[in-house]
Amino acid sequence: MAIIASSTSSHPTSPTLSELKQLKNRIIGTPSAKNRLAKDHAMMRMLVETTMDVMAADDVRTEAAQILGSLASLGGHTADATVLAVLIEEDALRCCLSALSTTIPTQVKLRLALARALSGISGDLAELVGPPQWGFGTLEAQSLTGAAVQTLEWFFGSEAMDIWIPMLSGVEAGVVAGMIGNVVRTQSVRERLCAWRNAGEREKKERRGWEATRPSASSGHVLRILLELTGRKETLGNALFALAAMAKDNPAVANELPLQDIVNHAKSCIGEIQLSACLCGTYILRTSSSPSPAVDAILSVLMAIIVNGTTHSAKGAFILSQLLTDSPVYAQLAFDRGALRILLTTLRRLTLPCTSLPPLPPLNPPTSALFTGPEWESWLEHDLDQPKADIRLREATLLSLASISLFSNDIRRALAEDEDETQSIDSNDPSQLHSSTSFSHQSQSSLSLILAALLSPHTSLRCAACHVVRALTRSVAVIRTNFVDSGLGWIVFAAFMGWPQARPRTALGTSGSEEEDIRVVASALRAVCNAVCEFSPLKSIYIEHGLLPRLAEFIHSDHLDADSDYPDAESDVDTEDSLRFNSLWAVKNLVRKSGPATKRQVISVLGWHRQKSTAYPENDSGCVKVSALKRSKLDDLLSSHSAKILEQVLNILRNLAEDEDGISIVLNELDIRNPFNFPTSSSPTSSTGFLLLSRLTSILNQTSSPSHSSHSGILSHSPYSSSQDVLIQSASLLANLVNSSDVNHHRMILTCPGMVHALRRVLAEQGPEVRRPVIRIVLEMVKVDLSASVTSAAAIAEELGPPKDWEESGTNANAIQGGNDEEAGGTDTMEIGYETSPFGSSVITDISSNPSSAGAGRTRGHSRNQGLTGARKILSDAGFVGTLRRIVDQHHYHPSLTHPHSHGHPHPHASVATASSGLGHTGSGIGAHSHPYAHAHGNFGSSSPNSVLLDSPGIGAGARAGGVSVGSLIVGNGIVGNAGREDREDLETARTALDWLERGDMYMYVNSYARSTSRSGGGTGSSVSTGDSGADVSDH
Amino acid sequence: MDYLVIEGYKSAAEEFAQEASVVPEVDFESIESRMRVREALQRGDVEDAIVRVNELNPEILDNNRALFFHLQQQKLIEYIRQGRVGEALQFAQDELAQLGEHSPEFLSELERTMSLLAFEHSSSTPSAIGDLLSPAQRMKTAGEVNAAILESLSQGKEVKLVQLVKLLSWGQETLKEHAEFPKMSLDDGTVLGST
Repeated sequence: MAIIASSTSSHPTSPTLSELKQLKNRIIGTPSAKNRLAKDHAMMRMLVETTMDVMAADDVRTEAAQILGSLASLGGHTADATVLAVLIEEDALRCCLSALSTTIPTQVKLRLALARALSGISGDLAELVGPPQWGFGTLEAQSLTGAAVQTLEWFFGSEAMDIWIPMLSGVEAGVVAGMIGNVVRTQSVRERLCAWRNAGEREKKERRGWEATRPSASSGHVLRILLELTGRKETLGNALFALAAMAKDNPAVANELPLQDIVNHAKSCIGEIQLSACLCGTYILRTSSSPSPAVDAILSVLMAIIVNGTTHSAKGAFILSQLLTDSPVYAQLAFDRGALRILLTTLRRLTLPCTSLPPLPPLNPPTSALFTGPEWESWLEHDLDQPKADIRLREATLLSLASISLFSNDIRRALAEDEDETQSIDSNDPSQLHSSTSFSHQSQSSLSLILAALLSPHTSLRCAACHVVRALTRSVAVIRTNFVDSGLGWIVFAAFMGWPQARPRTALGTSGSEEEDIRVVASALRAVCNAVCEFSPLKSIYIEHGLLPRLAEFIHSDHLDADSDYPDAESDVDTEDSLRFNSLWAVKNLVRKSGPATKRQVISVLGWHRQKSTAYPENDSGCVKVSALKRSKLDDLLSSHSAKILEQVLNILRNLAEDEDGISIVLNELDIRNPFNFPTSSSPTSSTGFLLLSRLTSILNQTSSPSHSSHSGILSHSPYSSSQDVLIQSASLLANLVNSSDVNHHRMILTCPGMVHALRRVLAEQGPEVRRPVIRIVLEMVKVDLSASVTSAAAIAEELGPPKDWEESGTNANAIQGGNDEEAGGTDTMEIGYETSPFGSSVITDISSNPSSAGAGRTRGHSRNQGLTGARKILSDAGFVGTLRRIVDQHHYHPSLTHPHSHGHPHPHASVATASSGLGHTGSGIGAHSHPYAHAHGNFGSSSPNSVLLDSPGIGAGARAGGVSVGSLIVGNGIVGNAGREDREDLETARTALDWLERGDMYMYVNSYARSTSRSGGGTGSSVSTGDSGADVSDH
Repeated sequence: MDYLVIEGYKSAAEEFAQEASVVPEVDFESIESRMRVREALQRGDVEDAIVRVNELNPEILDNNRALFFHLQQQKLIEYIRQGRVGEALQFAQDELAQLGEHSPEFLSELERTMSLLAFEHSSSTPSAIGDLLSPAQRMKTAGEVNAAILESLSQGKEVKLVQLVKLLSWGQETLKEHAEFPKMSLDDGTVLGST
């Protein structure tokens, strides 16, 4: 049990009791004295040795342990790297634990002191390693992190836990529970604690191992004892705190806890207990899937804590922000209860308004001249002198504002437009010092509060302000108006770019480090992501001022290179990863619906562009020498082990391929080299596309194959869902590529070794989300195969054209699409704007305006031959018929949907007609609206009357039957619900694809009639892209 | 009982527990040690008070900077009160200045305390500054320490009886705006009818 100590030799001159007491009283509460002591290595060594010395008197050891504990905790955590360094160096944690293991329960005082020291030191280490408990981490000592990680790893090893966990049953229970609450921050540690058994239980388990049941959280020893501790007044607070730490993001524990009892504790009259109970309740609520009424009680307690302005307010606000994060329901509830007003009032009270910025010209970046002057200096000075507690509260309030407004447009608008109407604030803050003056008399708009935080010398505030900006920029209206007008747009961009000139500074110029903190950059980036959407006025301005090189820098920053600019790079891989991830995200939003020029510019600055192609002036951001043997930057990303990164890269490619020019860029201009590092011949244009496709094939294979996952590394760190996202993006990219008018592109896909089989396996094994684009690929390829043979490639180009950004073709239909497009873009909420499946259709226009071409199609239809790309044969041979049939048959239970296909009609005309009428019937009944062609046009504008009219099965019937009568087109029911529609659509697309595969040659005749089918098929494919990528944009 | 414990009437609390045959929730030793701290502060021996608090629980002063600052401030006040100007200055330089460096929010309070030196017991001391020398300042600091210790023992820091009276008073004030009703006067405990 006892741990062999690193050194047990007694120091020749052991300090006396009175000396130690004197020392203790000197250092307690005095950071500078602690710092001095930490530098005295001999003394430190002696203290540690005295603590461990079993021969020394108990009270001497107690004093020494108390000194160690005091060194570790100052205001919760030491902020002094020197002190922390010496504690790690002397291995104080191990020493305290080792000393504890040799004590007996009667040595109460000594054990208590040791437990406190243990708790303090381990808490410091946990704070150093992170993740931080309350908002921004307070410790910054990167050089120590490695040692701290090791020590904590040991601390949560079974050997160490066997010593300290049993103390939960002793007099030290409260201290140890508090320690658990403080130190347990990661899921693996939570699991280890839950799995811990005491000696007796372990023995029992061993004996009856053959019938050992799966250990569940409820039987966890630690959890049981902690619950017992909540029954005792003196340990209640700490026990709740510990339970909160155990329950965070951990449903296994959270579901075991008595929520109602915990909520009742939140009404305690003791602040600490209130906080712990709220925290615990918050974590329980967050793990449960359905909203609970208990949230009301917690909200009201938290709001009271924030309003009261006590020392607990900041923590209360942090808890509130955690409660509301990613929870639209709770955010709305909190908003309804007036939380937004309380938060703004609090923030207003604590924020000294900064000098109002002159309206920033949109074309000139802010200069340092803007931020110099006496008023800025006094503002800075005040901000620097603000009590730490107030800074924390400001940070927490900002984070809560970000959480509350993340989802609802109404809340965002309320936040953005708040103009300080509440002048009377009854904030009684007894515990705050007088210096926390109330600034409420000055009128401040909410945006100026955020701006003040964004310009603040405190890193934590800048970071939190970026979060608010990010939440605000999810609203199109805010981006277009307040965001630009208030100057936030510039300042947040400056934070992302790390421009030092866009921050106020004192005359000395040393108010903060010159280099922007990487965490601020990371959170500013998330706001920038939202601000580069297609409708943002800032998109082009950002690009003009160096957005792209900066993004490229983050995307291609190399972990292995010591990135001296960013001290966090080594320890905080998460930040680094999130920078890369979010930079990719920004690129994804940026290229979406951008013109070919922007697209080329983006890929060339990123270094993804092939060197031989057009060179752009921006192309200087670190282009690599083309070498066939060296992997390109894009190669590196495509072989990323992180599913998240891979997903983003594929999504960028998918967004690039959203139109004809984009497809050409993706297939011809990207810098992709041989995935197997074989030297390639001097790259004919087609080989890039080929290489991309083989890369996609291997991604599809690797990611979809479950047996492979353990070695491939793609799945090993990531949950299933992200690998599914990779599949969705890969398939959607292909779905966009098959919209290409160039049949050679189809041939390329079809002949790419393994691609067809990989697709079939994905189709057979994956869920509906992944299947959807795959089915559309199949349908599209078969249709092009067959219909392409009856018309010229040029005609197909016209027919297949992806409906958006298609101004070049300039038909009537496209004019309408363009109009609808605008409308969708102008929709206030991105979510609403894009999550709706892109509907609307130009079929009617097409048919009515081009009757002659439909007729011409028929004539040519007879001259068909084997098929242009051979897709039908290749896909059939690959077994797609069977796979699709299985998918269709799985939904056999729906009679109206399966009816037309359950018995094959000999005549395609009849078959189609049955299908259409059957669908029309069902559609009116259940609002399912599943004709695959009718709404296949990837067009925006669900609000347009056109689309309502056209968006009906009747159109499909008409179109398929060769435009029998325009009148019948309007008969179809136009009222369509979105819910449940996707599944039906999928099924119907699958059925159609199957039909085409099985009886495609018979459809040729029909198809040549109605050229809109193939055209709308193109829309099907691209609707995947627009619909989903729209959702992606909003999702940030 | 709650009142007796929190306000530190140890012997009365003991008697009460005995006579009312209630099982005390706290051990009476803690009351006594709390009272020693309070007495030390009231007689102006801040040094002793700090030692005792640390003896009781070394975490209290470490985790509560404002409290620690107030204790140190009180110590400075005591130096000034005793006319030990040299020591006061030395102490302010050595200890308080460093505290102020770490927590700038204390600086202005420190300045206020230091300005006591300028007046040297003269009657012209402005009351805002002179108050620091008053016994009330000692009581205030002592109360703060008392509350902090109680909190560290997970006890309520305010007497429930006092809370009740506050609630009553607040309730009456609020109700007064809306209705006429028989009021309870806190001065003599009589109920004044409005009829």
